[in-house]
Amino acid sequence: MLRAALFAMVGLFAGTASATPPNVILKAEFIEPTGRYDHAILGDDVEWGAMRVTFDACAGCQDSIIMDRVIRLPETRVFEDLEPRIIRDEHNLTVIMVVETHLELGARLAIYTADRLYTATPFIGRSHRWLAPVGAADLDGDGIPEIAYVEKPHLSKELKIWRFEEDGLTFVTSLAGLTNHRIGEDFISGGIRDCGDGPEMITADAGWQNIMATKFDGKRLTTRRIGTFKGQPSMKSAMSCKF
Amino acid sequence: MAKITYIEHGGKEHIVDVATGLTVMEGARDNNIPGIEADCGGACACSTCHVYVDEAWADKLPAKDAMEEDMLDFAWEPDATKSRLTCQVKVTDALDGLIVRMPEKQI
Repeated sequence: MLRAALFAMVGLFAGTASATPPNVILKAEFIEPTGRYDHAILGDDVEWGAMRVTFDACAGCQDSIIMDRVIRLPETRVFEDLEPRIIRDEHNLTVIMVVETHLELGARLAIYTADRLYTATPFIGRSHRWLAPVGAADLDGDGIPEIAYVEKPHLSKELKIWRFEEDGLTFVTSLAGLTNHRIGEDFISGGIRDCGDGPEMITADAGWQNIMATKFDGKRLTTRRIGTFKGQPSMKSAMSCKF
Repeated sequence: MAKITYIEHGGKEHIVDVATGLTVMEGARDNNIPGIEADCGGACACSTCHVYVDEAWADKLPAKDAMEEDMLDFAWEPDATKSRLTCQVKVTDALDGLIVRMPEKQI
């Protein structure tokens, strides 16, 4: 199912022989720094106007065809993120997950293939409203990947789960009272870990007192305290399953 | 190969042959036709390759997907029936004779 979803995302169909192998994304980096959005949520007022994607247009062929593509946003939008995240499945199918912000409508989570914007969540709806990615994984073990992020991590602090499906992203559920970013930090805390009992999303609680582990069972989220938040070392310890 | 007519907002016509497999945007770009900017390079990540398809052709093109629909919301004065992003329209022999008109501006 994971393969089906990702194949669908890159325009192919699982189990269908094709003369055109999917593009495999090798590298993605932000370029063209810009000050056209005055948010500075990540510590400075520099966001990014474009992204360079390097991909193999013939992965699996005898000779790779390495190509670059620049995806440039219009003046009304910026990439407002630390870096583009390449999501890769076990079959080496790849997409890019990135936070993209409209100057008047705030942030959304966007998914790009090597060629194009594939899908995105809706913009939050208001300027200076952001979201912080937690990660992408098959959170409930059904074979279909989900993506997780904290919407408005400094305000409503709401963990949201979306599922990759063949026609895009489908919102599944959310849980308030969790966060993974403080204003001005140039990093995002926590992420997704698997300590042997399935994936868990690691965040702080709303007051940054506790480290929380949240699981998704396919329908709803359940969260539990796993330790006291004592700065980034404690968060890294949680991510490496030390508690 | 398809013969495509691009009409600038001011009325100037450009009639060019566009190879099958290219997009309508690439046909404009490769023939230096002004009015289609394609800032994002054809990634459906902007709306600066917006055109109005001639009414006679509106139903003959492949349907818009969800992302093209979304991006058209940000285009200059989109028309629910005639607006398309040219980077999302692949040229086939069936498009021979296609006529597209540029909007007043691209945003």
